[in-house]
Amino acid sequence: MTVVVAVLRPVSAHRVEVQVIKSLIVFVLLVGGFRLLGKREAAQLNIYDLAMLMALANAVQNAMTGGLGNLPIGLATSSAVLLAAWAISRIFRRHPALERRFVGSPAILVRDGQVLHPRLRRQRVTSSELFEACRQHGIEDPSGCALAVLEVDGSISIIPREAG
Amino acid sequence: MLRDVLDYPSPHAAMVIAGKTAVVYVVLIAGLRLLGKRELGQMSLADLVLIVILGNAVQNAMINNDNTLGGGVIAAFVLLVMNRLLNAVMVRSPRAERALIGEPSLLVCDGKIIEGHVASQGVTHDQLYAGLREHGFDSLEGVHMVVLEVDGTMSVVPRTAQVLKTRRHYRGLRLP
Repeated sequence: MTVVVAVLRPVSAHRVEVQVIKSLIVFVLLVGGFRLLGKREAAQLNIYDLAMLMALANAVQNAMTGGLGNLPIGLATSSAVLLAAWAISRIFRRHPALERRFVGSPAILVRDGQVLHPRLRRQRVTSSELFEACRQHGIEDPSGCALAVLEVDGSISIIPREAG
Repeated sequence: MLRDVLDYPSPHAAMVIAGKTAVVYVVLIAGLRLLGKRELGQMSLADLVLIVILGNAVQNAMINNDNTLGGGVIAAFVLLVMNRLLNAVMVRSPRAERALIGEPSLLVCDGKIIEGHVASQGVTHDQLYAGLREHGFDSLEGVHMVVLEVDGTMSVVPRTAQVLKTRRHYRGLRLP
């Protein structure tokens, strides 16, 4: 009986509302923060990026749940974030121009074997990461690329030069 | 209602959160570097669990039971900015990148296994041939080079690939 009471510990509706709105604000701020400061090449995450992500998720935890271990608050805040993510993807599907503006457009890193170093630096891709991407596509180095493109999903696409 | 939502720590508490978060980030990076687990592509479940637990372990050290919206946002942005700085350093300085991430290693050059590199990277011949098969090669014939990348995956460059100029860009990729 005490267990059931503990599981269904009541919480005021006001408190749930407050934490839901807080969670939504945290979500929106984080999306904006990642757009501003985050790494574009999500496919090339290193272990330090992963550790930062995990620490970040925990850093915002108390702001979202108010440090309460309440079931209703946990359910309400997680559903709020899921709904917000769903709403954003729906908006993007309806307005592709908005998505391009917000998610960014693909960036060309190599053209006809020439590495565009300023672009590389602006997109915060190191040259060793570019070389690695080439080798993963079976090309020794960027001089063999007709085109290397940093896609919006964070991966690097390589189009090899025609042999001969 | 609005006041309940938009709560924030005192300026002093905010500075404490920012400072603690910055210290935690530096310690995390140093710890992971010392531990020497850099191969994200080869992470076992135990390694992944370690990272997740690390994030939980440092939570209270960063925000110290601060339940305000402002406190969480400050900690999150300190982490994002520190990570951005680290990546900016690595883009500008190949030496820093080598020290933090490591460098790729040439395992096979023109069909010949470089035994010294294979041994020092702790790669067995079985693993090397498994890597080749994953790329559709059943022998070293037709293989120009095999590189063990910093994330622990193997790249295979076939001999048929057009080589316009050959340069070795990394110490690790030079022939012994």
